[in-house]
Amino acid sequence: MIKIWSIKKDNSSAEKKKPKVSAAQIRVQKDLTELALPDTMQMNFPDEADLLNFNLSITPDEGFYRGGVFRFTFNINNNYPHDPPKVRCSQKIYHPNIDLEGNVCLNILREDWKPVLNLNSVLVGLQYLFLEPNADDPLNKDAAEDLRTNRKNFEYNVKQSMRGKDVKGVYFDNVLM
Amino acid sequence: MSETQMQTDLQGGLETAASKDWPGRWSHLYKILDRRGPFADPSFTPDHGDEILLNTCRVLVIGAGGLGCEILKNLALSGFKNIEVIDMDTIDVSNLNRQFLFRPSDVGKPKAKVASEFIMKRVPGVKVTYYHGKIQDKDDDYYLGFQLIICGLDSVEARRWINATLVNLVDGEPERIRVLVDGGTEGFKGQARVIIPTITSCYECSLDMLGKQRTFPICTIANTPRLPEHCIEWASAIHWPKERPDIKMDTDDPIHIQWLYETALKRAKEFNITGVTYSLTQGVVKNIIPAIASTNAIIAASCCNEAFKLITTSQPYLNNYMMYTGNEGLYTYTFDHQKKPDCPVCGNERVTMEISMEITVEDFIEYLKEKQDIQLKKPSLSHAVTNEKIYWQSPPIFEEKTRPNLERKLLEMVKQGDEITVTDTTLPISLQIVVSYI
Amino acid sequence: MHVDKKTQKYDRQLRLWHASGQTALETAKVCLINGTATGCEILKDLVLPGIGSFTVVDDKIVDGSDVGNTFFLVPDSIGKSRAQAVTEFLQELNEDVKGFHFSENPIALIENQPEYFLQFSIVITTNIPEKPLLKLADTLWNAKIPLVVLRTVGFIGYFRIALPEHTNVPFLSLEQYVKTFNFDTLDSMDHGHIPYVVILLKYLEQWKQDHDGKLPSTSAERNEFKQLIQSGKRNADEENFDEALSSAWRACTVTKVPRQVEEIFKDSSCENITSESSNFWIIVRAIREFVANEGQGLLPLAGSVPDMKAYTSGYVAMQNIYRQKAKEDISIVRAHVHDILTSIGRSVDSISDNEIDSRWLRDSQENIVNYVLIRAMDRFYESHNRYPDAATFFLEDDAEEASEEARSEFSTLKTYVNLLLGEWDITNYPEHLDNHIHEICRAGGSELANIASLLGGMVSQEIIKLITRQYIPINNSIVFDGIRSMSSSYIL
Repeated sequence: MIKIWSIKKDNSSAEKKKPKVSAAQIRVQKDLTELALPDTMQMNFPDEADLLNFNLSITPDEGFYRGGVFRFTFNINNNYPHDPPKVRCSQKIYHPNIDLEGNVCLNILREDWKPVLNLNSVLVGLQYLFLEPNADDPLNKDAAEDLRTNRKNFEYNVKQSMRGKDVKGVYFDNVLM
Repeated sequence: MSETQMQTDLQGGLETAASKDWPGRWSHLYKILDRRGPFADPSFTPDHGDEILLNTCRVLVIGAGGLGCEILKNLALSGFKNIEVIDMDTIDVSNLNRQFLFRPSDVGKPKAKVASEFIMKRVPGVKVTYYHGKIQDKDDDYYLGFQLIICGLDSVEARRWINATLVNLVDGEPERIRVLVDGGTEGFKGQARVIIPTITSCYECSLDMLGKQRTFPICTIANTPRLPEHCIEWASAIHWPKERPDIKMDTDDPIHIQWLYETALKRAKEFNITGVTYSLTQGVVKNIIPAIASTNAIIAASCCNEAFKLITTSQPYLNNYMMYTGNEGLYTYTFDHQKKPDCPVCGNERVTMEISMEITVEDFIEYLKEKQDIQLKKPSLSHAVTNEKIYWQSPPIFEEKTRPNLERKLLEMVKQGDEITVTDTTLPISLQIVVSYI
Repeated sequence: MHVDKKTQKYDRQLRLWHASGQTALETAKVCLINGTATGCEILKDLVLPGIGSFTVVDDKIVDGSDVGNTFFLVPDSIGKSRAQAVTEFLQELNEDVKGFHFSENPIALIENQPEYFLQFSIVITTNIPEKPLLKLADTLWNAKIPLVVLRTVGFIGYFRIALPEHTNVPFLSLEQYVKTFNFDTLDSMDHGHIPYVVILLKYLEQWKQDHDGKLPSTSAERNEFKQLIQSGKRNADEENFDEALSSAWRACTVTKVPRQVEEIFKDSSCENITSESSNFWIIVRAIREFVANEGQGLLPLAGSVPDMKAYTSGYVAMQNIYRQKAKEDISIVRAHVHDILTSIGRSVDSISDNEIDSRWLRDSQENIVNYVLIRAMDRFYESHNRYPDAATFFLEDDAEEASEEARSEFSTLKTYVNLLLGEWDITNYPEHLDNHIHEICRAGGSELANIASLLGGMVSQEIIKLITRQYIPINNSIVFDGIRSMSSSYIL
């Protein structure tokens, strides 16, 4: 038998306390403790012992969506950072890259996710969606069309939707502070 | 899930083993084991064939699927007499194209049980015990009870778990090293590797080498589908939550798959896309990986060849990674996969620090920042076992919560010999500090 | 939805070779000569996915050592016909497959009734001496039936596929060939059979014209490029266009030299070529020169083409263009080798053309010695009717104690090795040649279950590739070294 090991018969070491924290959890801990959260973002944890599920709210201080509070749920599985975090918007909002069910079209959350990215990259990405909605990768086609063809009209519709009013017959959640 | 574990009666098993040999049984193996080899490890001694074939070496096989069936067969034919197999699955019809220890009448039975019984029936004198359940059910002592562990899994998560468990097992004592031989396949490709926990690179070190699961931009799925897969993703990721928000999708339920298939088909017709089939729907939503008998045979045999060489020292063992590609010609690439310094599993530095029983958390953090050899800037601390936060620099909600702890004595939160997990921007992943009060 | 049992059973492989490949497999008839451990492993991996039928030709009576290394035998099989015993156990693996056995001496059968083998779609031989093998190869070659020759000993395995070639057509450059297609004037049938490589090149050319000669680089551009291809599709069913679409990303990627090869290029032995440099490093340096100059950043072409939807004639034409290019590339590399040899004052024929033509990775140089040894072992068998089999004496102390028998075994095998090296004009001795010879004597013709299974898997994979006509088969030999866990392929 190759000499790197020998068989250990006694079980004396059984009671040793060793970390039971998974690699995913340690990585999330690292990501969280190194976050540089701007004033426009807040996090809360429904269960503070559970770092893998939390909420984020974004309050943009410029752009079309200024004045609103936008809430997201984060769901991280034990395969993090191999798998990206699952992020959903928990409100119904009028946004070219977020559909009415809360799906978010952000490349690093799906096809461009890499384990070297971290929670901070996702937060920056989300923040950017509110500053510069992208009409070329639409998830809400109407909103994207609106943004592309008539910025003024889009701005008006965003404001309406944020107040809980309807846009073309569809009602949105009131997100004003 | 019912838990069944057979007791291993070592002595009894071995006596029957010896009596079940017949003339010439091991003659192929004896050639190698009874003669010195020019490439063999210097510790190899010939003429010990009997001892090796009848030794008490216990091997654990994780997974009784495509690779597992092959591994069990190969070990039994290579003279291993004392094997245990773990698998939590039951046999499915779609296993029969490669998992050759199972017959149509076995569908629905536990894989580990059927596989172990088949091997014992076919190869006299081999003892194969089984556990039908999860690897996570077993503790450190269980894994310490084997000299070698061979893994034939299809799940990244289970592999990461066993890898981390075996790395943590070592705990600074070389005699607690248990070698892991890991195999994996996908279609015509695969890899076999030898992991010597804490010494070679580990599974976690190579995580970024994994082929990425095929994902599509959600905007494409929503608006500009071009492929049948886009329509299927639309049905499962967008349309299902909208139409059936109260029903949890079960990808093993044929009725659910049927619904997704029909939905995807309808969407495909709308966009003039062809190619949506029931089978493709199933493949996309369950992320089915193609699997064939030949690739499993190659990878499993390579794993068992390494196990045999490691245990008998009759030849040098693989250092430490062999990649196999069979879809364009036949190509292997054998190389020394390097340890990743920032590997979250084996790259964790662990130090023991002697500190005063009187020290406060705040002073301890200052102490860490001043310590030249670790160079920390903004350390955040947690208890490594309970995961309780001691002091976190961010996010604000936790900073505020843990700020009062700064004034407390460290001893109140961390007992003698306990371990602290420290994260910091300057650390690749984390630092483990074992506290020794003076 | 009713998915029939068979589709369910084969689901995981149908995702690779689809119904068309499966049908091809189910109509194939495989013949195995000698039901050895390795032979049975190949059949296992073919019976499971549902090969049409298999036939084992073998007149051996099962002995204890067979049961020791073969999973498809039990102690009760001892004394029975090996062909029959393994067939029965292999048959159990899949009720869809027919198994036949023929307890006849294969060598006699080849001698007296070679036409027997013409009923099969593929023939596999294990442990057949060279002479009858040549006759069998001849018979099958003329009938265009592929033959697999296989050998395992100790930790070493080797196989070779003899695949009759297609007929030649005149050569064209790929560029010229693409120009022979006028997409607009083709009828729908022809349009649906344009090889996808041609489709890609045609549209890539068009793209480059519209974009200052640049390749599509951003994802938006790539999508646009795909749209361009898509727009050429006449109807949704044109598979060749789908193939082109699914490879479009590759066409957009600048092909590069693989990282591991680049590292070899950077090795100081490649940088500093002296009169002491080994042939391997001279060849590597020549390839580096090729990449830097004529290759324009690319390695010499391998000369194989993936299967694609096309008329046979179109496909073969493409294949020939690739092969022609491969030949040209090699002759350029050869010229570089000659230049280097001249510059260091060695004779230009001190490196044979064969050596240049084989694969250029570090391991293939080391692995060829295993091929030489297997062939030498075969020669040994021809004259002694048994394999070399003796204790080793590679340490200095051992040499004094070594038995007369062990010495004679070693030196006989070494004689055959030297003869072969001479015949093949290999003048630079493989390193540690004696150790490799010792290792073969140690193995004593043994067949280890692990190596049997490993080679069995490789061979069955190749057979599936040949039968389903999907994926690229090897060309044409593989040597696997289970001591160092690496394989190499050679054109032999």
